[in-house]
Amino acid sequence: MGNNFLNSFDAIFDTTEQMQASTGFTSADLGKLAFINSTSMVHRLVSVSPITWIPETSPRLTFGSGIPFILPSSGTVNNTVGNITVSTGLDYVVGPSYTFFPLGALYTNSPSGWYYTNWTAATLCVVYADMYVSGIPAIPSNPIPLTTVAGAYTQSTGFDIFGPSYAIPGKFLGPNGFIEWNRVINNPNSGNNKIYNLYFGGVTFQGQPQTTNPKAAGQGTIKNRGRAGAQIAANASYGDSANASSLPKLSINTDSTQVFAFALQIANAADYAIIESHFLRANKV
Amino acid sequence: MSQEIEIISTPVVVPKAFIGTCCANIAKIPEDALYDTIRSWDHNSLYGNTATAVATFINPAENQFNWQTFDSFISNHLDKRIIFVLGAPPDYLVTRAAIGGSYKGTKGNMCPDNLIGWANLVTKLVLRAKLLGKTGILWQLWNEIDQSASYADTISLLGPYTKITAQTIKNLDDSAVILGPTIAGPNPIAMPFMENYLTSSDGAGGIAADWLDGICFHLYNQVASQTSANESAIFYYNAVTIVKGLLNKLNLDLPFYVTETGVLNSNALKGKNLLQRSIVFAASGGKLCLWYSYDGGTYAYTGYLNYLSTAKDLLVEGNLITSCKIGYGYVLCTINGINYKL
Repeated sequence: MGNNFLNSFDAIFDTTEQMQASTGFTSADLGKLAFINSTSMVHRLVSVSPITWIPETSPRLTFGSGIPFILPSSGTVNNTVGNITVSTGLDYVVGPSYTFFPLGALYTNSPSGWYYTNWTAATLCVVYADMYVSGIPAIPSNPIPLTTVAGAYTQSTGFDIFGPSYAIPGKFLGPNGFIEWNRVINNPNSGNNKIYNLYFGGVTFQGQPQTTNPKAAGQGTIKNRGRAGAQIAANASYGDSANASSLPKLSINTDSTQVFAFALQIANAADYAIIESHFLRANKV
Repeated sequence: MSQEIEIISTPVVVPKAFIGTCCANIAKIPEDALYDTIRSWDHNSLYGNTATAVATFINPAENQFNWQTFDSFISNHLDKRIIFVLGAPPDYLVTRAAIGGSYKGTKGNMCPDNLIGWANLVTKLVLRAKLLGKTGILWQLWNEIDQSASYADTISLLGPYTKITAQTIKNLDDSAVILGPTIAGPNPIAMPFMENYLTSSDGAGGIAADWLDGICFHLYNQVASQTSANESAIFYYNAVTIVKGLLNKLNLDLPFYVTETGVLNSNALKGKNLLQRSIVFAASGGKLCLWYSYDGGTYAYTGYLNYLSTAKDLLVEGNLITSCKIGYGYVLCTINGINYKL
């Protein structure tokens, strides 16, 4: 094993090949290190003594999905087997997704939340009992039928509803760690606000009301500023209007577990808002 | 299916008397409601809204005392942990002109500028409680300082007020606990009030926070037109992290107490929501979750006593919370090795 490297670097490698090329380690050497080989982690060697190297685990957390999160318009539960018609049709047939229904919409006192849905037409979906709570969403392999009660419901308006949400564990980021995020949105062209705020540690740091701009994508970063309790955020837009240059200054304590959440809001119950896809990557530095 | 957010990194021991409540128009909550802590704000026993248990009604003028509500409140809750809310001073202790709009009394939303007179009044309150057999009271220094009906005065005035009030109480009862003024919610408007208060000079080289044993906030997240509102455990947890973030920023190591949290009557799941809030606050290291209010008008929970009982049973002093997973919809927690989906 090449001891001449032992005090010379503390590097991150995205592939085993990169590590071998940089260190001169053979495959047998790397086998002795028993590093973690995972597509969700990078390989990082850190020195714990002059002659021993070990892999540092989980320097990166990656979350995301292309499963749509739909905040639909008001609508009607058509029958007892979960068929729902919304008042304002979506702009395409979405298919498998999670859809938000307010308190009491589906049956007496049904909890508000994100229900698994299969949209079979622009105005029609079937709702199931499977609910999204937090973390990486998934399409259930055997969706659980939901017994519904026919009747109209009015969608919630005027406040943020947390959609995809993830935990950034305390002390994960490190003093210079950073988060990258992206989300793609879709809403009708109307004069009413459709708002997609982002929350980190309970603080809204990005959110662009959309009105007549029906499709957009935004991305950005939050970076610790050499200490765990101060961040700078920056947003870039690929279609988001008027938010390309904001630089929110945050003071979130990243030594404690914080929640990163993508939120949706509509001002008028005749509109809808969709997060078509999203991702989040937290990097330990 | 979902991968819930875990908010516990090290196990949390439930503190003493974690579940609390309050009542307004009755002397005592019936025995079928299970709780350990009671709070005085809005409590009038049976004497009406102009006789609530606050300083301005207890001592409306110099040498004039109306003790009936105070006595009823203390005497009826000797077996509970008591939070008594100060502030709302009598008019005679504020020499400046009334600002107006006070909840209680004419100048109840102003800081007393006769602090010696105020200390004398506080002395009488502490000694009266001791006479009735109650020590170890949690004295909360003011209600909702971000609400002008409760406090409309200059925040920095509360620094010297805090010092003299805390000193007075501790000199008379070293088992007493001093809690900072509360805010109506940890939102972007209210948090600067809390920060400005905590860092206010006490007039003697220290700051207000130096005199506190804990800080407080309230949590309501609904508007009347939205019965479902955004009831999410993420919202509850975020409230805690915002407050803890401020404490971290100020290098303060103080526990937090939620001295009011309420859900509108129009929300049929209010009992469940309050139970979830209690679990999240306990798992986050809080010292109290106080439900507003047994008979509190739009926030009454008299129809949900089974949820209150569940909260008290789960959050008994000494119970160990080893996991609390949150998200939108339900809370998964592990208490004393038993898993609960709430």
